[in-house]
Amino acid sequence: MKRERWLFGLLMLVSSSCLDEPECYALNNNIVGVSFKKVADNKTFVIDSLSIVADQVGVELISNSSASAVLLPLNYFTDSTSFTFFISDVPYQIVVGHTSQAQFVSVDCGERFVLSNLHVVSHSFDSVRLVNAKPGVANASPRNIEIFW
Amino acid sequence: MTFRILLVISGIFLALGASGQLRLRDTTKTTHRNRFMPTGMRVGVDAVSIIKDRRQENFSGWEASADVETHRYLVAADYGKWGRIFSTDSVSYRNDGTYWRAGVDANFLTHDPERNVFFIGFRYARARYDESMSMTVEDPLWGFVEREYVNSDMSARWFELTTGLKVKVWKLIWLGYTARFKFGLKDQEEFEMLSHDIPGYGNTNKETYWGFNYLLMIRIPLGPTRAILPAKK
Repeated sequence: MKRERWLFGLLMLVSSSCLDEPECYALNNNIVGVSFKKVADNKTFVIDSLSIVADQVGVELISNSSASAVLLPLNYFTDSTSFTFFISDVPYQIVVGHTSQAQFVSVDCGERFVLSNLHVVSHSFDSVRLVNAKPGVANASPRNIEIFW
Repeated sequence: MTFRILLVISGIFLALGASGQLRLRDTTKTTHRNRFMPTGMRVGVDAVSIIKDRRQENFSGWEASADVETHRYLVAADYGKWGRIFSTDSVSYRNDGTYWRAGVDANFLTHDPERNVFFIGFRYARARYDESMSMTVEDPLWGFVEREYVNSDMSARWFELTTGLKVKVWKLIWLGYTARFKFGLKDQEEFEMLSHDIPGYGNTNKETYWGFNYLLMIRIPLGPTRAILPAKK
Protein backbone atom coordinates (compact mmCIF):
# COMPACT_ATOMS: atom_id res chain seq x y z
CA MET A 1 0.00 0.00 0.00
CA LYS A 2 2.98 2.28 0.57
CA ARG A 3 3.67 2.28 -3.16
CA GLU A 4 0.03 3.09 -3.91
CA ARG A 5 0.07 6.03 -1.51
CA TRP A 6 3.09 7.46 -3.34
CA LEU A 7 1.36 6.90 -6.65
CA PHE A 8 -1.67 8.84 -5.49
CA GLY A 9 0.42 11.68 -4.17
CA LEU A 10 2.14 11.88 -7.54
CA LEU A 11 -1.16 11.84 -9.41
CA MET A 12 -2.47 14.70 -7.31
CA LEU A 13 0.62 16.78 -8.06
CA VAL A 14 0.41 16.08 -11.79
CA SER A 15 -3.28 16.93 -11.98
CA SER A 16 -2.67 20.20 -10.12
CA SER A 17 0.14 21.15 -12.51
CA CYS A 18 -2.02 20.83 -15.63
CA LEU A 19 -4.13 23.90 -15.01
CA ASP A 20 -2.02 26.21 -17.13
CA GLU A 21 -3.22 29.04 -19.35
CA PRO A 22 -2.04 29.68 -22.90
CA GLU A 23 0.17 32.62 -23.81
CA CYS A 24 -1.67 35.36 -25.67
CA TYR A 25 1.04 35.95 -28.24
CA ALA A 26 0.93 35.47 -32.02
CA LEU A 27 -2.35 33.56 -31.85
CA ASN A 28 -3.30 34.00 -35.51
CA ASN A 29 -1.24 32.04 -38.04
CA ASN A 30 -2.00 34.53 -40.81
CA ILE A 31 1.50 35.13 -42.12
CA VAL A 32 2.50 33.86 -45.55
CA GLY A 33 6.18 33.70 -46.51
CA VAL A 34 7.01 34.60 -50.12
CA SER A 35 10.51 34.13 -51.54
CA PHE A 36 11.98 34.99 -54.91
CA LYS A 37 13.96 32.47 -56.97
CA LYS A 38 15.77 32.43 -60.27
CA VAL A 39 14.09 30.29 -62.92
CA ALA A 40 17.45 29.19 -64.30
CA ASP A 41 19.07 27.66 -61.21
CA ASN A 42 16.38 27.81 -58.49
CA LYS A 43 18.65 30.00 -56.36
CA THR A 44 17.52 32.91 -54.20
CA PHE A 45 17.02 36.12 -56.13
CA VAL A 46 17.19 39.60 -54.62
CA ILE A 47 14.66 42.13 -55.90
CA ASP A 48 16.24 45.58 -55.75
CA SER A 49 13.15 47.76 -55.89
CA LEU A 50 10.12 46.10 -54.35
CA SER A 51 6.86 47.58 -53.08
CA ILE A 52 3.82 45.52 -52.00
CA VAL A 53 0.25 46.74 -51.54
CA ALA A 54 -2.57 44.89 -49.78
CA ASP A 55 -5.30 45.39 -52.37
CA GLN A 56 -8.38 45.00 -50.15
CA VAL A 57 -7.38 47.95 -47.96
CA GLY A 58 -4.97 49.82 -50.26
CA VAL A 59 -2.21 49.82 -47.68
CA GLU A 60 1.43 49.69 -48.73
CA LEU A 61 3.07 46.91 -46.71
CA ILE A 62 6.57 47.20 -48.17
CA SER A 63 7.89 50.34 -49.77
CA ASN A 64 10.72 50.40 -52.31
CA SER A 65 12.90 47.88 -50.55
CA SER A 66 15.49 45.33 -51.52
CA ALA A 67 14.44 41.79 -50.55
CA SER A 68 14.76 38.11 -51.47
CA ALA A 69 11.84 37.05 -49.24
CA VAL A 70 8.91 38.81 -47.57
CA LEU A 71 6.35 37.97 -44.90
CA LEU A 72 2.83 39.13 -45.74
CA PRO A 73 -0.30 39.22 -43.54
CA LEU A 74 -3.35 37.31 -44.81
CA ASN A 75 -6.82 38.75 -44.32
CA TYR A 76 -8.31 36.23 -41.87
CA PHE A 77 -11.76 37.82 -42.13
CA THR A 78 -12.11 36.56 -45.70
CA ASP A 79 -11.15 33.45 -47.68
CA SER A 80 -8.67 35.17 -50.02
CA THR A 81 -6.10 37.98 -49.94
CA SER A 82 -4.85 39.96 -52.90
CA PHE A 83 -1.43 41.63 -53.13
CA THR A 84 0.11 43.76 -55.84
CA PHE A 85 3.88 43.59 -56.12
CA PHE A 86 5.58 46.57 -57.75
CA ILE A 87 8.95 45.40 -59.03
CA SER A 88 10.87 48.28 -60.56
CA ASP A 89 7.47 50.02 -60.80
CA VAL A 90 5.93 47.18 -62.86
CA PRO A 91 2.81 45.78 -61.13
CA TYR A 92 2.28 42.03 -60.63
CA GLN A 93 -0.76 40.72 -58.82
CA ILE A 94 -1.19 37.54 -56.81
CA VAL A 95 -4.36 36.34 -55.09
CA VAL A 96 -3.97 33.66 -52.45
CA GLY A 97 -6.89 31.67 -51.08
CA HIS A 98 -7.10 30.20 -47.59
CA THR A 99 -9.49 28.67 -45.11
CA SER A 100 -10.01 30.73 -41.99
CA GLN A 101 -11.54 29.25 -38.83
CA ALA A 102 -12.27 31.18 -35.64
CA GLN A 103 -11.68 29.68 -32.22
CA PHE A 104 -12.14 30.90 -28.68
CA VAL A 105 -8.82 30.62 -26.80
CA SER A 106 -9.41 31.91 -23.27
CA VAL A 107 -10.87 34.78 -21.32
CA ASP A 108 -7.44 36.43 -21.22
CA CYS A 109 -6.55 35.88 -24.87
CA GLY A 110 -9.96 36.15 -26.54
CA GLU A 111 -10.27 34.53 -29.95
CA ARG A 112 -7.87 33.46 -32.66
CA PHE A 113 -8.06 32.61 -36.33
CA VAL A 114 -6.57 29.38 -37.61
CA LEU A 115 -5.66 29.55 -41.29
CA SER A 116 -5.01 26.54 -43.50
CA ASN A 117 -5.40 25.23 -47.04
CA LEU A 118 -3.34 28.01 -48.59
CA HIS A 119 -3.47 28.04 -52.40
CA VAL A 120 -2.71 30.41 -55.24
CA VAL A 121 -5.97 31.54 -56.86
CA SER A 122 -4.41 33.67 -59.60
CA HIS A 123 -1.21 35.53 -60.41
CA SER A 124 0.46 37.55 -63.15
CA PHE A 125 4.03 36.37 -62.55
CA ASP A 126 5.79 33.98 -64.94
CA SER A 127 5.83 31.11 -62.46
CA VAL A 128 4.68 30.59 -58.88
CA ARG A 129 5.03 27.49 -56.70
CA LEU A 130 3.24 26.68 -53.46
CA VAL A 131 5.66 24.89 -51.12
CA ASN A 132 3.66 24.84 -47.88
CA ALA A 133 -0.12 25.22 -47.54
CA LYS A 134 -0.04 26.09 -43.84
CA PRO A 135 0.51 29.79 -43.08
CA GLY A 136 2.59 30.55 -40.02
CA VAL A 137 3.09 33.09 -37.28
CA ALA A 138 5.35 36.10 -37.76
CA ASN A 139 8.20 34.99 -35.52
CA ALA A 140 8.41 31.56 -37.19
CA SER A 141 9.25 32.99 -40.66
CA PRO A 142 7.11 30.58 -42.68
CA ARG A 143 8.06 29.69 -46.26
CA ASN A 144 4.93 29.13 -48.34
CA ILE A 145 5.21 30.54 -51.85
CA GLU A 146 8.12 30.79 -54.27
CA ILE A 147 7.98 33.30 -57.10
CA PHE A 148 10.31 32.51 -59.99
CA TRP A 149 11.92 35.41 -61.75
CA MET B 1 -6.01 26.08 -3.91
CA THR B 2 -7.86 25.15 -0.69
CA PHE B 3 -9.92 22.66 -2.65
CA ARG B 4 -6.78 20.99 -4.03
CA ILE B 5 -5.26 20.70 -0.54
CA LEU B 6 -8.48 19.11 0.73
CA LEU B 7 -8.36 16.62 -2.14
CA VAL B 8 -4.77 15.65 -1.31
CA ILE B 9 -5.56 15.22 2.40
CA SER B 10 -8.69 13.18 1.77
CA GLY B 11 -6.73 11.06 -0.71
CA ILE B 12 -4.17 10.17 1.93
CA PHE B 13 -6.98 9.16 4.33
CA LEU B 14 -8.57 7.02 1.64
CA ALA B 15 -5.29 5.26 0.95
CA LEU B 16 -4.72 4.68 4.65
CA GLY B 17 -8.26 3.31 5.00
CA ALA B 18 -7.73 0.84 2.19
CA SER B 19 -4.41 -0.18 3.70
CA GLY B 20 -6.03 -0.92 7.05
CA GLN B 21 -8.75 -3.01 5.52
CA LEU B 22 -6.19 -5.02 3.59
CA ARG B 23 -4.95 -6.62 6.76
CA LEU B 24 -8.09 -8.76 6.84
CA ARG B 25 -7.69 -11.95 4.84
CA ASP B 26 -10.42 -14.16 3.51
CA THR B 27 -9.82 -17.81 2.99
CA THR B 28 -13.06 -18.53 1.12
CA LYS B 29 -12.35 -20.46 -2.06
CA THR B 30 -13.75 -19.18 -5.32
CA THR B 31 -14.47 -21.84 -7.89
CA HIS B 32 -13.59 -21.36 -11.53
CA ARG B 33 -17.27 -21.71 -12.45
CA ASN B 34 -18.57 -18.65 -10.60
CA ARG B 35 -15.41 -16.56 -10.89
CA PHE B 36 -16.87 -14.08 -13.42
CA MET B 37 -20.36 -13.82 -11.93
CA PRO B 38 -21.08 -10.19 -10.94
CA THR B 39 -20.59 -9.77 -7.21
CA GLY B 40 -21.50 -6.14 -6.79
CA MET B 41 -22.49 -2.93 -8.46
CA ARG B 42 -21.58 0.61 -7.50
CA VAL B 43 -23.43 3.75 -8.54
CA GLY B 44 -22.36 7.22 -7.62
CA VAL B 45 -21.85 10.85 -8.43
CA ASP B 46 -18.78 12.97 -8.99
CA ALA B 47 -18.27 15.51 -6.20
CA VAL B 48 -15.82 17.56 -8.27
CA SER B 49 -18.51 18.33 -10.89
CA ILE B 50 -21.05 19.23 -8.23
CA ILE B 51 -18.62 21.58 -6.46
CA LYS B 52 -17.52 23.15 -9.76
CA ASP B 53 -21.17 23.64 -10.70
CA ARG B 54 -21.80 25.55 -7.48
CA ARG B 55 -18.48 27.40 -7.17
CA GLN B 56 -17.46 28.25 -10.75
CA GLU B 57 -19.58 30.81 -12.56
CA ASN B 58 -18.55 29.57 -15.99
CA PHE B 59 -19.33 25.87 -15.46
CA SER B 60 -22.53 23.91 -15.08
CA GLY B 61 -22.71 20.15 -14.99
CA TRP B 62 -22.80 16.87 -13.16
CA GLU B 63 -21.52 13.36 -13.66
CA ALA B 64 -22.85 9.95 -12.61
CA SER B 65 -20.81 6.76 -12.55
CA ALA B 66 -21.52 3.06 -12.27
CA ASP B 67 -19.47 -0.11 -12.28
CA VAL B 68 -20.12 -3.82 -12.03
CA GLU B 69 -17.61 -6.17 -10.40
CA THR B 70 -16.84 -9.33 -12.26
CA HIS B 71 -13.89 -11.29 -10.82
CA ARG B 72 -10.99 -8.80 -10.64
CA TYR B 73 -12.46 -6.58 -13.38
CA LEU B 74 -14.87 -3.66 -13.17
CA VAL B 75 -17.06 -2.88 -16.15
CA ALA B 76 -17.42 0.87 -15.74
CA ALA B 77 -19.51 3.61 -17.35
CA ASP B 78 -19.98 7.32 -16.74
CA TYR B 79 -22.52 9.80 -18.03
CA GLY B 80 -22.36 13.52 -17.57
CA LYS B 81 -23.66 16.91 -18.56
CA TRP B 82 -21.31 19.85 -19.09
CA GLY B 83 -21.78 23.48 -20.04
CA ARG B 84 -19.33 26.37 -20.17
CA ILE B 85 -19.75 30.11 -20.59
CA PHE B 86 -16.81 32.45 -21.15
CA SER B 87 -17.37 36.11 -21.74
CA THR B 88 -15.22 39.19 -22.18
CA ASP B 89 -15.88 42.64 -23.59
CA SER B 90 -15.19 41.51 -27.15
CA VAL B 91 -15.95 37.79 -27.26
CA SER B 92 -18.50 35.46 -25.77
CA TYR B 93 -18.36 31.64 -25.99
CA ARG B 94 -20.73 29.01 -24.67
CA ASN B 95 -21.17 25.29 -25.06
CA ASP B 96 -23.58 22.74 -23.68
CA GLY B 97 -23.71 18.98 -24.09
CA THR B 98 -23.47 15.50 -22.70
CA TYR B 99 -20.82 12.81 -22.69
CA TRP B 100 -20.35 9.19 -21.76
CA ARG B 101 -17.42 6.90 -21.15
CA ALA B 102 -17.29 3.12 -21.00
CA GLY B 103 -14.48 0.71 -20.29
CA VAL B 104 -12.92 -1.84 -18.03
CA ASP B 105 -10.75 -1.49 -14.93
CA ALA B 106 -8.51 -4.18 -13.45
CA ASN B 107 -8.47 -4.37 -9.64
CA PHE B 108 -5.07 -5.00 -8.07
CA LEU B 109 -6.36 -5.54 -4.51
CA THR B 110 -7.21 -9.16 -5.23
CA HIS B 111 -6.87 -10.44 -1.66
CA ASP B 112 -9.10 -7.88 0.01
CA PRO B 113 -12.28 -9.41 1.48
CA GLU B 114 -14.04 -6.03 1.45
CA ARG B 115 -13.48 -5.70 -2.30
CA ASN B 116 -11.73 -2.35 -1.99
CA VAL B 117 -10.36 -1.37 -5.34
CA PHE B 118 -7.08 0.01 -6.62
CA PHE B 119 -7.48 -0.04 -10.36
CA ILE B 120 -5.91 0.74 -13.68
CA GLY B 121 -8.20 0.84 -16.68
CA PHE B 122 -9.15 2.09 -20.09
CA ARG B 123 -12.12 4.09 -21.41
CA TYR B 124 -13.68 4.96 -24.74
CA ALA B 125 -15.51 8.31 -24.52
CA ARG B 126 -17.89 10.28 -26.70
CA ALA B 127 -19.50 13.72 -26.43
CA ARG B 128 -22.39 15.48 -28.15
CA TYR B 129 -22.70 19.21 -27.81
CA ASP B 130 -23.73 22.58 -29.24
CA GLU B 131 -21.53 25.66 -29.08
CA SER B 132 -21.67 29.28 -30.13
CA MET B 133 -19.38 32.30 -30.18
CA SER B 134 -19.99 35.96 -30.87
CA MET B 135 -17.16 38.42 -31.22
CA THR B 136 -16.03 41.82 -32.34
CA VAL B 137 -12.48 42.00 -33.64
CA GLU B 138 -10.46 44.98 -34.73
CA ASP B 139 -7.33 44.35 -36.77
CA PRO B 140 -5.01 47.33 -37.40
CA LEU B 141 -4.71 46.37 -41.08
CA TRP B 142 -7.90 44.53 -42.04
CA GLY B 143 -10.39 46.59 -40.06
CA PHE B 144 -13.34 45.79 -37.82
CA VAL B 145 -15.67 42.79 -37.97
CA GLU B 146 -18.57 41.55 -35.89
CA ARG B 147 -19.36 37.85 -36.21
CA GLU B 148 -21.50 35.11 -34.74
CA TYR B 149 -20.76 31.41 -35.09
CA VAL B 150 -22.96 28.46 -34.15
CA ASN B 151 -21.98 24.78 -34.25
CA SER B 152 -24.94 22.49 -33.61
CA ASP B 153 -25.02 18.76 -32.92
CA MET B 154 -21.26 18.38 -32.77
CA SER B 155 -19.61 15.13 -31.73
CA ALA B 156 -16.18 14.09 -30.53
CA ARG B 157 -14.45 10.98 -29.24
CA TRP B 158 -11.33 10.28 -27.20
CA PHE B 159 -9.69 7.60 -25.08
CA GLU B 160 -8.64 7.54 -21.44
CA LEU B 161 -6.22 5.64 -19.26
CA THR B 162 -7.57 5.62 -15.74
CA THR B 163 -6.34 4.81 -12.29
CA GLY B 164 -7.87 5.25 -8.88
CA LEU B 165 -9.11 3.95 -5.59
CA LYS B 166 -12.56 2.91 -4.39
CA VAL B 167 -12.82 2.30 -0.69
CA LYS B 168 -15.64 1.09 1.53
CA VAL B 169 -16.37 3.72 4.17
CA TRP B 170 -19.46 2.47 5.96
CA LYS B 171 -21.92 -0.30 5.08
CA LEU B 172 -22.98 0.48 1.51
CA ILE B 173 -21.22 3.85 1.33
CA TRP B 174 -18.02 4.07 -0.72
CA LEU B 175 -15.63 6.88 -1.66
CA GLY B 176 -13.16 6.91 -4.50
CA TYR B 177 -10.88 8.71 -6.87
CA THR B 178 -10.43 8.40 -10.57
CA ALA B 179 -7.53 10.12 -12.31
CA ARG B 180 -7.85 10.18 -16.08
CA PHE B 181 -5.25 10.63 -18.76
CA LYS B 182 -7.23 11.70 -21.83
CA PHE B 183 -5.75 11.31 -25.29
CA GLY B 184 -6.59 10.62 -28.95
CA LEU B 185 -9.17 13.40 -29.28
CA LYS B 186 -10.98 13.49 -32.61
CA ASP B 187 -13.51 16.25 -33.11
CA GLN B 188 -15.18 17.88 -36.10
CA GLU B 189 -12.89 20.51 -37.59
CA GLU B 190 -14.60 21.28 -40.88
CA PHE B 191 -16.69 24.25 -39.71
CA GLU B 192 -16.05 28.00 -39.60
CA MET B 193 -15.57 27.81 -35.84
CA LEU B 194 -13.21 25.32 -34.19
CA SER B 195 -14.33 23.89 -30.87
CA HIS B 196 -12.75 25.39 -27.78
CA ASP B 197 -14.08 23.06 -25.13
CA ILE B 198 -15.62 19.59 -25.39
CA PRO B 199 -17.91 18.26 -22.64
CA GLY B 200 -16.07 15.58 -20.69
CA TYR B 201 -12.74 16.32 -22.33
CA GLY B 202 -11.96 20.00 -21.86
CA ASN B 203 -9.80 22.36 -23.88
CA THR B 204 -9.29 21.11 -27.44
CA ASN B 205 -5.93 22.84 -27.81
CA LYS B 206 -4.40 20.19 -25.55
CA GLU B 207 -3.58 16.91 -27.26
CA THR B 208 -3.58 15.20 -23.88
CA TYR B 209 -5.46 16.24 -20.81
CA TRP B 210 -5.80 15.20 -17.19
CA GLY B 211 -9.15 14.72 -15.51
CA PHE B 212 -10.05 13.96 -11.96
CA ASN B 213 -13.17 12.65 -10.24
CA TYR B 214 -13.90 12.29 -6.56
CA LEU B 215 -16.71 9.76 -6.31
CA LEU B 216 -19.41 9.29 -3.70
CA MET B 217 -20.94 5.86 -4.27
CA ILE B 218 -23.16 3.16 -2.91
CA ARG B 219 -22.35 -0.51 -3.51
CA ILE B 220 -25.20 -2.91 -4.14
CA PRO B 221 -24.09 -6.49 -3.45
CA LEU B 222 -25.10 -8.93 -6.17
CA GLY B 223 -23.49 -11.93 -4.52
CA PRO B 224 -21.34 -12.92 -1.57
CA THR B 225 -18.62 -10.37 -0.85
CA ARG B 226 -15.22 -12.01 -0.43
CA ALA B 227 -11.70 -11.71 -1.69
CA ILE B 228 -11.21 -12.14 -5.44
CA LEU B 229 -8.33 -14.54 -4.91
CA PRO B 230 -7.71 -16.72 -1.85
CA ALA B 231 -5.35 -15.38 0.80
CA LYS B 232 -1.66 -16.05 0.27
CA LYS B 233 -0.35 -18.87 2.46
